[in-house]
Amino acid sequence: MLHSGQLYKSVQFSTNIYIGDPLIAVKIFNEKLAEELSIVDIDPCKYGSEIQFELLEQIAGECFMPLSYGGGIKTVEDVRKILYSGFEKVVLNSIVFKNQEVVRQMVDEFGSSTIVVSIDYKTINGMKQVFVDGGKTNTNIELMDYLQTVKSLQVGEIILKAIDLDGTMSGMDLETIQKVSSAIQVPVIANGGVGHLNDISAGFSAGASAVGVSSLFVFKGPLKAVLINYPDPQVTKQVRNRSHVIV
Amino acid sequence: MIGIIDYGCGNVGSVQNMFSKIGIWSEKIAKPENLTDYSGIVLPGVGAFDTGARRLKSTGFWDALKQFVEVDQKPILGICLGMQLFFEGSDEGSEAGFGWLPGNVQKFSASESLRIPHMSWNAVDFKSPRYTDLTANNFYFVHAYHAPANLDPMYVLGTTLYGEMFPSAVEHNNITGFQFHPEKSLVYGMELLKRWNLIHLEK
Repeated sequence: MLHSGQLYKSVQFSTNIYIGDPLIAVKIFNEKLAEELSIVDIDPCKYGSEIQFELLEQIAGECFMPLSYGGGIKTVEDVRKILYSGFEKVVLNSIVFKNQEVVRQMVDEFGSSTIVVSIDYKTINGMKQVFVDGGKTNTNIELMDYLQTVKSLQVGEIILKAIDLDGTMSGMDLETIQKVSSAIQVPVIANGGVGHLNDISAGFSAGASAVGVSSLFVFKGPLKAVLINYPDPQVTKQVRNRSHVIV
Repeated sequence: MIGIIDYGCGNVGSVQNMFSKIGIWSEKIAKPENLTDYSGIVLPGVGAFDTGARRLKSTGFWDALKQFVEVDQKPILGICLGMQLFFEGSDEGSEAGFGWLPGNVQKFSASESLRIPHMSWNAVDFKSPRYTDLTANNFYFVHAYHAPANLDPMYVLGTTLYGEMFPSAVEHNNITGFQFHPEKSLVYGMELLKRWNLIHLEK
């Protein structure tokens, strides 16, 4: 996740822990053979700043694996520029709530496989509610209702994020993952709460096509020192082909 | 020195960085002058067939590449759209390709269960012993069109299965083309580029 051009890991979408220079991190992921990398810039989402096309081009130039980008995408032209800078997919979030017509145009122009929708939700009084603007704004729409709208847009992939669990490493919201994956046909990438390799397997069993793992890959030991790595290589072998690295 | 053609059809940074990572000298070329100074050329590219063909013509690369490949007989590697432009044409557009390989680039036949574009890691079944001993044959694909399925086997370097079997790597003397992206395929892509370099430039 980018903030002020630097790489951070969030906790519950608010506290941000500095990880390092994104270009150096990308080189580490090259070495670690990450099979896909997703980059999210929170500044355009939260503070409305511009998409940093130049930085994205630099990152893509250093990357030897497929890439996706999310953060502040509003127009068909934004998507075109990002794809031409060397990214394979774009991740949409707030725009899906604000302007479904433009999302339809993006799908028409670039194909379903290129367009990913990220849905952030929080549990409020037992209800799963969808949040946009980097977790700042409550849409007051229930997750499953929102999902129906997203389904009609024919996007290629859904990233599901439990804000409450982000960065907590306390286990995934399996019930919601199960409900969401059975409601739609496109792949669901579940995020939030992975603290253990068992959580990844549990996410897959609940129906996720991929599990976003972040803290587990960037922090090491009880004091959470920053060290970008896969956990024990022997154990990760079984999950690595299916787990995305999302920082 | 390898020249990577930068004609405004996609980011060529990762191609160049991958070459430098495996210790092979390369540089981006934005102008067609002095093309003959290079020992080999890489033609990358993403996007529509017609856009690619027109850009090559408007930048002057078209004629320079014909000279390089047809007259000088020096090695060229096409990646994705770059490879597609080696054919006579494409069902995607109306512009002519270089015609170094026979037939038209075609669209995946539509089917309910098949997602187009084909966008994933997939296996390449290499037909030539010069490529069959690579450590891994999985590469990253992003495309909606592919080389003609009925391409004469003498030009087929490798095939991939996605709903149907299609040529994902092609070869004809000094001309090599990959539909997938070695520059997005981690160390497996590096090994492959190294091999292409070994076969065509260190012979």
